[in-house]
Amino acid sequence: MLQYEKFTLSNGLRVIVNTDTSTPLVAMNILYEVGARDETPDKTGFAHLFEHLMFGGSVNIPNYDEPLQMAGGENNAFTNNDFTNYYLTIPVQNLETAFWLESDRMLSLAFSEKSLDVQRHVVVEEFRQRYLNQPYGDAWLLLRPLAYKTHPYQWATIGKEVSHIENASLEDVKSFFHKYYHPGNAILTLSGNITIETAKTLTEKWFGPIPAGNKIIRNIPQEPKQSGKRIADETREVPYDSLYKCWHCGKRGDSDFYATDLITDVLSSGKSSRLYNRLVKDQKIFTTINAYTLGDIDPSLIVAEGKPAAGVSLEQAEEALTLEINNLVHHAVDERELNKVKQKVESGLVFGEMNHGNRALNLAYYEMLGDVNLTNKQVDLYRAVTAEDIQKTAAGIFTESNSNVLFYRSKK
Amino acid sequence: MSISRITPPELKIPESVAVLKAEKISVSNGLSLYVINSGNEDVVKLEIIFPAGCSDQMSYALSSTCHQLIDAGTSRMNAQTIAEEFDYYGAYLQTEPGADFKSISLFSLSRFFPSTLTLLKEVMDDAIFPESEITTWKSRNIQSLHVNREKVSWLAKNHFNASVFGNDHPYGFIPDEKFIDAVTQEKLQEFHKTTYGLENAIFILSGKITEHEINAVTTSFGSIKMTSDKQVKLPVPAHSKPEKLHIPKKDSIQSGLRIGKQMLPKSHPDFLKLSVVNTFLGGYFGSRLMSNIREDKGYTYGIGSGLVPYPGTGSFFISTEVGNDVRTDAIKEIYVELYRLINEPIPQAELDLVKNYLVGSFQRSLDGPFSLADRFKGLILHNLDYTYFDQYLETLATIKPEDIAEMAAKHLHPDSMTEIIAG
Repeated sequence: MLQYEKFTLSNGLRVIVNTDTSTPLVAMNILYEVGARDETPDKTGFAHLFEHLMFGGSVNIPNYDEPLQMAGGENNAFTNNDFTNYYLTIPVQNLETAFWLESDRMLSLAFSEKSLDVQRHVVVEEFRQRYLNQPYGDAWLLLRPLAYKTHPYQWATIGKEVSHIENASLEDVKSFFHKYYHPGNAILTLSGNITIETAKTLTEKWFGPIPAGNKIIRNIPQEPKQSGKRIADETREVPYDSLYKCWHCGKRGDSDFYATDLITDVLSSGKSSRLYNRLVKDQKIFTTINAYTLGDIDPSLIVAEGKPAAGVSLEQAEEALTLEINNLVHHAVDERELNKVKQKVESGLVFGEMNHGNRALNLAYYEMLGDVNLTNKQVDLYRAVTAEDIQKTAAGIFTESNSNVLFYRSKK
Repeated sequence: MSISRITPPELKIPESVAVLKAEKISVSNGLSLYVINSGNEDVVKLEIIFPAGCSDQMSYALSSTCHQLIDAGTSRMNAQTIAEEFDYYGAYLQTEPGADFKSISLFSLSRFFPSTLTLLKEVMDDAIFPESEITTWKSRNIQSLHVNREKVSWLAKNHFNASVFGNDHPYGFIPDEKFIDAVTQEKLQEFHKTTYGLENAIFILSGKITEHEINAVTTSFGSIKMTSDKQVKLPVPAHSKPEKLHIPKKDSIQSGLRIGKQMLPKSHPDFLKLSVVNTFLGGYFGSRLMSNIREDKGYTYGIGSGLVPYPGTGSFFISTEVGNDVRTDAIKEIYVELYRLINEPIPQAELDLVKNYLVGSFQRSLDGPFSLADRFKGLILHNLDYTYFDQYLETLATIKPEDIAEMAAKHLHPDSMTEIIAG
């Protein structure tokens, strides 16, 4: 059970604090509710590029990293389709440095031409390193537009193409900042050696004076129900064929999320899972196979990906995978198997809470979902899932007309 | 309240760092058991480390395969049953094969630790390496080998190690079909018999540890007769001549770079100072390599440098992936940064920054029971004790710009570097 307290500043900034005096450190997490789904089709990759620019100096502080390192701190950030997250840890003696730095870049950035120019190059190299110069690295760049025709989840956070990043202008940067980077669109969480009183004093002092921004009205085009199976066939310079199949499923906030997540655990969590034992070891159809759900804020995907064994075609592999997955629709999972995956989830949650950075991120994430107390309800929500829930949820997801298949072929 | 956003808040750097030390527990059969009791969660990690040196690359390959397949079946349970048992308790195993040591870690919720530990012991004692599991392992590894060969970072890293430590030394191991093909059930069983003796093994128990957890370990392992392995000493790797190698990889749009050399072991008197020098160069986000090659020139998504210590030696490396169009310029800038460390004294402000940053990093590395256990392991496996941490803080407090230039000149001269380009 994670103890925490929550308060909100008058400018709308939500603050959540978990106190643990056994550590000499404090973890600070700031989540901005903006991700790749907020981008327009002609300017993709922008939320992520912007994350890089947040380190290029703020209105009163020319460099973010140096003063933090000087204070013994360490930081990083990530962007996904739904949100952008900045996190740091710092020795408690220098906690105020973290407040000073983070509040200044929420107040305003320096908007330097040089920083934009350099970060455009850095992000283009990131695009190449992670997506273009890796075997199978572009699979998601192919899979997303196959599965989504309307919703912005059709592009990856890195963006649709390199040119969108190269063409980003300082004007774009400024308007993005003013729209999304303000207290009402952010959640600040703290975990570690900090009391609620100190947290209140310091947030009021540093974040209190930041003007409230305009409420964001989102009008994200939602994906219509898919009405027929889609198949994409691509050939690349890779040593082996690879199969990707995904199905639309519910969103993170839906009550059936927990059943959906457990479905992928039954299928592929660990060496006792179904896909590994039946398709890799018994039938020798695949050499590797994996399934997971993305858990996005808007309706999301369940994905299975694997590499067929020698002599097995992608078409045969897909058939075997589909047959195995349909078992979940036709037969209820037995109690022991269900208990096993639940126990594993619970254990993962307990181990996850050992780290203060994770705690701070979890508090922010569940607050973003609408209820910070969800952080303490996860185990019970997973525990409540029944075999019938699993079967019903699986039946709703695993139909061929709801599926998208990418045959990623080796040129060899 | 009026505040100045221009002036940074005053900094305080902790003068000492509290370290929760491992406690040695006396066990009647002489088992080496250390305990770190810390943390609020009811969880336990038990890491068992076997000093199992390898005389050559083939024995390293077999020893590490044996270790990866340790949980692939016993005479009572097949691999799936074993996995199911661990999963059922929400526990998991982590195996780390190494050329000097191999270790197996059990992560478990405290309430299930007696059961999961019994299971671990059975798996370790009675591993039988079924043929069917070996076949699955082989096809998976052949495939991942072929995929890895498409990655410039993998190529650069492996060819670097081979160049620096030699083609026949375990530290210079490059995964290859010949090592996968050579694996047989008989050989794995042989390695199982000869590399898991308890006499030289080290047990590190961390998490929320009470007498229950300690009793569980002594019940399972504390009354059995100790067995000893033949201690294989790793050959001393030859000091290769620096070379420049290009590993071709057609159609790649970026190149993997790895520049470095064989380096000092952790126990060498220069090592701590050198680790500080490495931080300036490429050991943190604000490092000179990152500032120049990423943040100023935009040539790469990331660049860094590091020291890899082995018991009697070590390596130093600089690593990055850069666009082919800027490869030559990036390499030039890497050498510019090495020469700057040698020829220009570090400015005081940068020295202060790195010192402060490293004190904070040191604190972070000691946060939580599993981190404490890892740091302790980093001492004991290199024949060091906790005074090493005092020496480290002392080094941070006293190191001067001239020490840094001296260390850089002595150990990091560009002429001494091996340079691998894959792409």
